Amino acid sequence: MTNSLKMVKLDFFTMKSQLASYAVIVLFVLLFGFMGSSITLICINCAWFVALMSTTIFATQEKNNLNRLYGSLSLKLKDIVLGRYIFTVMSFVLSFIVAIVLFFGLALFQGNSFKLFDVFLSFGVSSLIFSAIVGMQMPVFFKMGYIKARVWIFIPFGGVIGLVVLFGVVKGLSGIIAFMRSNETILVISCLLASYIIQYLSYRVSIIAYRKRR
Amino acid sequence: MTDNYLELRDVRKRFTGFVLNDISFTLPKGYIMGLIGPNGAGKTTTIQLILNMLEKDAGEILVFGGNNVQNESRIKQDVGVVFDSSIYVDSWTVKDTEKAISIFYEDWQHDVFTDMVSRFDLPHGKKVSEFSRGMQMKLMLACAFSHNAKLLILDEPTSGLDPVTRDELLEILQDYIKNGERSVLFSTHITSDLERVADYITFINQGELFFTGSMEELLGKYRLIKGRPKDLTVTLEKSAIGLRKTDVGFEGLIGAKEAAQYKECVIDTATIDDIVINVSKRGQRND
Repeated sequence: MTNSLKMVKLDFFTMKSQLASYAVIVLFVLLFGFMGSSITLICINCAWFVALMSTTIFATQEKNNLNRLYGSLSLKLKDIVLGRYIFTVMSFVLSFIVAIVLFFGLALFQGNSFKLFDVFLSFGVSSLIFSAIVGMQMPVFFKMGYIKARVWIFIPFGGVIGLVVLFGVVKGLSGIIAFMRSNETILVISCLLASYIIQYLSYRVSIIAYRKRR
Repeated sequence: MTDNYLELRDVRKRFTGFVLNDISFTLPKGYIMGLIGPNGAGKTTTIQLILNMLEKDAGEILVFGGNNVQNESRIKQDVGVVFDSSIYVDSWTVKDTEKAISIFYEDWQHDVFTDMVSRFDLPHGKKVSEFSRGMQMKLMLACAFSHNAKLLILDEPTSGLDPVTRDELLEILQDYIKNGERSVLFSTHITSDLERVADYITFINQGELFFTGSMEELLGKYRLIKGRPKDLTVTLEKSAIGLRKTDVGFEGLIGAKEAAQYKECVIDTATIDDIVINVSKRGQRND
């Protein structure tokens, strides 16, 4: 097992007592599912929730002064950062799977029809939103630690809302949206590609930020 | 493997308002070294630099003969660390701690961990947050021993512990190094603990290295001098370290070689505490 994967496992153990809070997703999907919301909307809301929850690991790290633990283990700085990113993305992917399974279970129960492509579309759009929020948050947390950075928690959320509004207001940009809507496969691929680029850049910035903190 | 488990050469780290300046010392295999100095002297910074938790500005740190940054992962397989308070997640139990920590060590021995937990009488059902400070320290020790650490680094492990637990820790450390293949770097400001177990002393004061060498050398180098006001000559006043004057007399630290010339004064052997207290007051560098 590589050191980054060991770090993922350590993050899992660190968050073990708080994993129950992810059960909110179950309630959330069931509630919105019964209300007839689309799977894309539900997945976007899941992405918001998991992005918000991803700050908890930094809070736990700071509360328990886990930098000393990391310093005592066979872990390099980049293992800690990469492990944290993998853990965060895994939390999102697992939450997405839970949401999808629940949603389609509910749809079957209610006798509603659904398109399989919607799963890819939901995954693409929600992962872009998740990556945009987390990609902005993580370097700040690595640089400042949870207590100093917590005022920043909601800024990425505001940034994403701002971007959505911008796309609606600026005419040139709304053309892009219209094009994407008519080419959903391109939309999914673009979202996933953009998510990867954002996460990668964010990871590189986080390494620099965490090194400077030392 | 080299005979020196730890070597620091002219290590420097600058912060705003504090500089750890040109720290050099060597810890040979099979010995206990006490890292002493008043609060804020730079002991924890030195330990964090050794563990690469901080990046040094200059100098070289060798652990088991290898560069501590380039060989960090390899080195930490053989290093155990104990801090002044728990480094584990509050909600973990003993079992959770083993599960979380053991994955990082190639040579983790579950049987040794179980034995240490029983020996230290650590409760299985309680969370780390419910442990006393002594128990938390013992859990860190149990983890360090379970991956067969050859170098144990302790950062103020006895602060806040009762005398019985401190005594127990010292016995554990003596037992730990008895095969001659392990070493301990023990940072503390409770110097009476060191007088019992340490072979070497490194004394840092205000970020500067004041002394590094054997315990006997340090204790043999200084004497405590006391006398009446009339015995305090100008020469003595200049040469005494951390001189305290009152209406009825004076007290300070003086070099052992100089002490013989002050026959009218009371000359006592100095404890590590006496040396630390007097030097800290004057903040003087040893020559």
